[in-house]
Amino acid sequence: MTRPRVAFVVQRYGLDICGGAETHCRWICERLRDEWDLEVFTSTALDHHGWKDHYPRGDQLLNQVRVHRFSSRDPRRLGVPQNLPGPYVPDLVAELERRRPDFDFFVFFTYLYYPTAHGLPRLAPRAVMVPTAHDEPNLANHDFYRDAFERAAFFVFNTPEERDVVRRHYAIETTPHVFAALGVDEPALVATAPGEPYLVYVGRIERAKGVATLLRYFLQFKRRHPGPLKLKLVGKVFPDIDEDEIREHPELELVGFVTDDERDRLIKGSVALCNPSLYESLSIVLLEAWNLGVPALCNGRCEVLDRQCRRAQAGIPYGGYFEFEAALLRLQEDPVLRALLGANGRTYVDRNYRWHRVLDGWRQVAAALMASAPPRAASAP
Amino acid sequence: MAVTRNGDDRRAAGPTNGREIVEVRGAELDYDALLSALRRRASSLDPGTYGHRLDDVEGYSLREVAAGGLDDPTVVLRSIRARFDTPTELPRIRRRGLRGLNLLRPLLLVTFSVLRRFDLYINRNRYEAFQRVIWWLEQNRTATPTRDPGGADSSSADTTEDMTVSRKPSR
Repeated sequence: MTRPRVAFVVQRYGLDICGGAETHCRWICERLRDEWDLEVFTSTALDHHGWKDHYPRGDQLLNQVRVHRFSSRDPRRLGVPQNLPGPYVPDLVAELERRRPDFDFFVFFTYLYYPTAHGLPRLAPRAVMVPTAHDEPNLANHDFYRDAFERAAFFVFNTPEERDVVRRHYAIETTPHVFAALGVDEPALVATAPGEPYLVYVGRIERAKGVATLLRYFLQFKRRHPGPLKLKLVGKVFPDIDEDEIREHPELELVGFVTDDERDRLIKGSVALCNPSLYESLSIVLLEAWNLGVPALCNGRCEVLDRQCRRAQAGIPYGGYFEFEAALLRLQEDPVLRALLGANGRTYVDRNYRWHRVLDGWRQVAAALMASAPPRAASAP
Repeated sequence: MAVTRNGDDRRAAGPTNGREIVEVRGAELDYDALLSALRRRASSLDPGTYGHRLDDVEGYSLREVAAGGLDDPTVVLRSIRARFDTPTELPRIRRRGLRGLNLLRPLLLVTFSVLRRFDLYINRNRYEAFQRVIWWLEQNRTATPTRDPGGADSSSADTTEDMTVSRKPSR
């Protein structure tokens, strides 16, 4: 097969960006860069609060991937509804249209944002969508997203649950799709230091991820069951969480943003990893915990987390405080149970989420789109 | 609890790196039995305090519901009821007001159901208006007198109150 030329479009892109879909996109690009000619089109923003410039505009080479960055503009001046999440990058969309002949197909990450909602319909029918969709109110906003969903040529879903959620809202039954989330490497030997037991949360520390509820549950748990157990929070704290109030509680520990090795060490040394989020399309950190043989304690009201826990038999979904309490007590008390759940998690990751499987999925996408594509135009200089 | 089969073969070895190495050879996880056992245990832990218990079962504060739970209006309504169907906690005048609000629940349910039926409830203006209502309710709730969670009358059976009543809305 000819070497595919592919444009990846994502709302943010960078090594220090905290976000599942963004990390997902970067990892895929870095894994495929040796077999595809790929370029990334993104914003200059570091975070999604205001989409302010952080990275310089223009081109950059990041881990051998060519990245083109565009500034977000004022949505009022563009006539874009302000409740369509940014970054508002019409220049990015115009550049994609201008360079349409340079690429065999375009991959849009995350349905939610302006680049996908506005860009994908213009690049159809050579546009692939990686929706990273959650069952959230925005998804039902047909005014914003119908064109993008219904004109995509191919979908890459993270899980069957994600596909089902999207199908409930849009007529995409006939659009081909693959499940090719992202892969997890075989874990290195991770040494853990002796210490007191703890539950760990890894990710964005913000309300939208269910952290406020987790804090409430955990403090309640500690009032009812005093003991050495702590909750370690790993990641960046967002403004809707009161950092000072967390620091007032000795049973809570804000670890902050850490290296991958340190994150693995913290997960490996924990009683369990907790994911309290209601909205997940995959949960990378869940796979990382299972990869390390660590069980999970997950919000059972999130369909993706609930079904993943049950499929893998590697985590306990909870549906309210008392189920959280019962599960945490049991995990604390029973090292054999933890080991069994962790071993199941490892097996699940081995079977479904190793990189060679994921990249095979992406190769299928390329093969399908290139087989149906018109002959290549000459590349622009 | 019937969670592992052939459990006699399992054993825990001594501590290494601060965590125990667990030998699970021969042990087998009966996952469904585990979840059933945990559900039973959760039921036994639940003191069944009417009102607040519902909130815990729902697991979300009103703002969290407003931020994302609108796809299921019954969650919103149950959450409101969980917060406000607690007459003993509230001064009489507010109690009456909230009872009045509760009387509107069937109407709200019908409205949400109709909107949901025609995919209208997601309209952003309505959504934001609803969020403002939720905010008002939340503020109103916070201003009500609450039990001292660490007070003399607090006990383990009572502690669900702490989570739902006394915390300020930023958490």
